[in-house]
Amino acid sequence: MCSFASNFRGAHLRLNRMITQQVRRAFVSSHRDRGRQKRDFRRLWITRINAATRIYKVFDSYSKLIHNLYKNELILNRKMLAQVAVLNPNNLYTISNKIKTIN
Amino acid sequence: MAAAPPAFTGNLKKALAGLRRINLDGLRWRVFDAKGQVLGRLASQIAVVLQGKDKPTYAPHVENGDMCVVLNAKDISVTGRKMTDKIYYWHTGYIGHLKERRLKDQMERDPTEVIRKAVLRMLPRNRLRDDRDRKLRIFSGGEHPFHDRPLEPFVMPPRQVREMRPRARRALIRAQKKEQANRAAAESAKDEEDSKTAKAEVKV
Repeated sequence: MCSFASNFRGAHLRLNRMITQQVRRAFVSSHRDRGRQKRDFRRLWITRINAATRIYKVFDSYSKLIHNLYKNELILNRKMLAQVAVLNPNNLYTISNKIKTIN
Repeated sequence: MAAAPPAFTGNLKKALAGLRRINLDGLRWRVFDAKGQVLGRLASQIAVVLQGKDKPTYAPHVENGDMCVVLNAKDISVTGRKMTDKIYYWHTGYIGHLKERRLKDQMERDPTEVIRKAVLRMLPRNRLRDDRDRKLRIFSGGEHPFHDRPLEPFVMPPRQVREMRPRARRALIRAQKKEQANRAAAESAKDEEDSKTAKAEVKV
């Protein structure tokens, strides 16, 4: 446990009482935030996809894009879409065009 | 081919304040024209651009918004009776010192503060808020000292204006009819005068 606390700050890594407390808190945070991490990243992807769809003007917003994705039974999830939006903006444009026309 | 841009009268120091602190590498300079725009609707668009939420590379811990230049702040419009009835309140910290100021008075003192308050209060209250404030430059007239930068005008999204309420519409129609009547009366009065002077000339 002392090695787990070896990069804590001040008394939190030197004094036994503090080490036990702080290590416990660290584990609790870690457990709780593993669940939060999934939420946070999905939020980030949604914001990015929203921004990207508004640039290309094929769809007016993220909501319309997702609606059309579901209508056409595409299983691209938001993580992939967000990466596509950042790295390959043209691909996102073609995907959304394809969806719109198939519609 | 642009003619020499009008010389920037006004506080140059204030306009260029803190520009060095901002990392201006990939940022665009967006120009918002506030003439005739509704205050809150414009402010929400500015806030979105300022946070960088219109870029696919948005990250919440990084400040990546574009520079926003707002022109013609004194021509901003508000609906309803907000010009006289919207009051800005603030408390100085001393007991009993709740101060207030109306929109009208604020526009007389400093029209840029109106837009600045509106935008700042729409930004999230976190550590990036001050940096975003530094990226926002507001000018009450149409001149600005940033003519040597690559400026991009911002096109406001189309707005669905709500249909006028029946009472307001009736008031508007009454006002228009009154104006027409006044104009007709003025014209007829002018015609009479003209005919009188014509008669005078003829007599002479």
